[in-house]
Amino acid sequence: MLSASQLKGMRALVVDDIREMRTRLRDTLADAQIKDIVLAADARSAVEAIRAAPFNLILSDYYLGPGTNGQQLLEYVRQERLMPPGGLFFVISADSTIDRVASAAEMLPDGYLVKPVATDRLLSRIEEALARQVALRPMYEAVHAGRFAEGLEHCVRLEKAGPHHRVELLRHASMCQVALGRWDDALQTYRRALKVRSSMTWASLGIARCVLAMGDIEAARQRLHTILKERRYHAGAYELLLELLERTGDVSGALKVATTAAEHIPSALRSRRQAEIAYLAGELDTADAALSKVVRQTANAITRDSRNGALLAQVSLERGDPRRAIKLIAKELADQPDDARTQALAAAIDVQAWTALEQPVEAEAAAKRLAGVLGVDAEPHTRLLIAKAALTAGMTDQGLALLDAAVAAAERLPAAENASTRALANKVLVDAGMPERAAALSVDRSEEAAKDAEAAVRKLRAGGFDEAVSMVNAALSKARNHTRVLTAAVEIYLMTMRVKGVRPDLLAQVQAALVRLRERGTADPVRLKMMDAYLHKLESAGRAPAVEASEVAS
Amino acid sequence: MFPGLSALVVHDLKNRLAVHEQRLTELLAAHPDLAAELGPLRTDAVALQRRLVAFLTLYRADAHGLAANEQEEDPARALAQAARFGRTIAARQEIEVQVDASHAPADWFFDAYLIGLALEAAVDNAARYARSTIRLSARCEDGWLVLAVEDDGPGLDGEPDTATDGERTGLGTELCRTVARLHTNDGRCGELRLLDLWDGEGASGTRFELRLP
Repeated sequence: MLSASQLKGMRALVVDDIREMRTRLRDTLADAQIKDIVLAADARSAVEAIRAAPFNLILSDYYLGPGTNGQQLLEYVRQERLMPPGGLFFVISADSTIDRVASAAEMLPDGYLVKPVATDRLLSRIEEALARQVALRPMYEAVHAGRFAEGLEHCVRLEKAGPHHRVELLRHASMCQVALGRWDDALQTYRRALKVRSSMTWASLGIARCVLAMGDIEAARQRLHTILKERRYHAGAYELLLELLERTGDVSGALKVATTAAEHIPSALRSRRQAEIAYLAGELDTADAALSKVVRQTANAITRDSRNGALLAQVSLERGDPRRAIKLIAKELADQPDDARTQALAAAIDVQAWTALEQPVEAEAAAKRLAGVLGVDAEPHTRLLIAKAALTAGMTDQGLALLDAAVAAAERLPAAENASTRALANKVLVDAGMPERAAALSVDRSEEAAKDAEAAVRKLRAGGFDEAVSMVNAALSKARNHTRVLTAAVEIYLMTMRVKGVRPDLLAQVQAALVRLRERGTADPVRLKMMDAYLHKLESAGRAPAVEASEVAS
Repeated sequence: MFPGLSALVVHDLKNRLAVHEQRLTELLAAHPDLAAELGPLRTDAVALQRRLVAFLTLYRADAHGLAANEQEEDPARALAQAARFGRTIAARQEIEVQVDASHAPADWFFDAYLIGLALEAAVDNAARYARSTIRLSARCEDGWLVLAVEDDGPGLDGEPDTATDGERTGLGTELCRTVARLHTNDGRCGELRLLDLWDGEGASGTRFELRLP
């Protein structure tokens, strides 16, 4: 059992929209000797309390009334790193919905509790979570800090140390392998997990993610359909299926899936996704309805985001209602007047709206505002909406430069976001009357090239140096400026020269690739520095092979 | 008749009972002198809630395809929790609750909440029949986790010693059977077994086994 001092030292937050339930949970915690307890009626006041002073135990009901639910609060708190290391977050649900809540979640809490929460059951859950935190702390810390190679080492060591927590260790090992791009290893780990328990959906989903990353689209599709047949509420499976459909250019298929996901697992996040795809598919009524829902639902929520109002304004514009667009974006700007991204989006909407209304003076004023915010620091989708406005306002060069920068920046993002950015860029160009440029973008084979480059790296690890060089050269011919392809090429050239001796042609290729990587500014600076250092070492070492092939393969 | 409506009514009753229980707890804290009158009322409110939760779980399994949220769990912990519950209800009857987790595997996959409900129902039942001891244990057997609750009462065909048999509805057993069935692995389904421990001489009792694949 937990010691009294462990519990007494805890600072706990209870979040529930029903007063009796808050009181009841407070009494339960007080029965357990926890003295420092704060109550919050909704997610917004919960976040305020957390920001004021952190909690090491949070109990949140799943349903918190309109706005943000307990799962979204968990995701927000974890993403914003508002809990101290080892902090525990429990989601509470009514008995009738717990299996649905649990299977819909991607980011898992430390535990689920079912109402009514009995003191001994709560204590048992806290005790168990604390024990796990203590046993696996070094691994959690490494993964949390993004030190995936170290995290993986801890997983292997801890798994050898004893039989406890083996599934948690397999789950984290696979996460590290995916983050490190070690798809083959991740695939093995997922298969091991399924041998332990064939019903573990996360492992099945992991296999789908691996085979998709390795280019086997049909195998991924089949697996995802099987998962969704068994678990209609699995958010992660819907997300991956959407990624697959967007990558294959099946926008109408993606819209169907996004609509089903939003119906089965309603949330602002999924309605937003549905709206984005509907916008791309030209289904403006659907996009409008979904975005209106999101804007209303998140009006007072912690997940409120001016990009939703801005996209709704953009949709209004394209439905031929520029006045509504002006009103919608004005509201966003009034709520966040100092936010640079909102200012940029407001200028972008205003330029297009006043142009559509044939009001040159207002349009000119908005264009001036837009020119001043073109360099705003924002994610690719926002930059594309700004680029679209720049193209409308006749700032063609700036608009295209912004669009190219957004597409390049998306290469560093997960494949799903990369695919949706390219699709949006394609639409912006078509709408701006540049279908040839859009076609060039859509026939870009960067994803295919990235996969080829990954295969080349695998070949290198297996000792096939010359083949790896030919494979990565072929990948470069498909996408000569793709960050991941360039990075793989540099690594393959360097490693080949390390084993087989320096070759002037490869040396020149490394130098050229490093120049392109630097120009794009999208590669990891630490990695670039390491590659530079290695290049210098090889240049000064001359032609002699430095290591045996087996050393590299290991 | 109207099972959906019944479930809604039961859900409402359960929530109202929770409010009464909360009020009784507050009254007990404010007036410890009324413990003799209020204490049993509160205990009764808790027991009734548990039964309503059992009813709702069965209803949901039957009408809406409840799925077990099977996670990697420690069977010893589930036993310890059920034992704590057993000690609170058996204290008045001076029944000892023993736990043997020495043969329990380090972990198993099950829905801790549903298994908690089932074990509590089994312990509740055992407490009605036991003469002096309830024994909880866990072991691994041919790829199954066997969670057992044993009492030293009159056995399956015997009569209970206590006078509370009027409370028997079969709800607890049905809940356990359903919770077992909801646990599946590689085509195998969980089972409930009830065994009579009468040895033909003096010793008797009932052994309840929840077998999870």
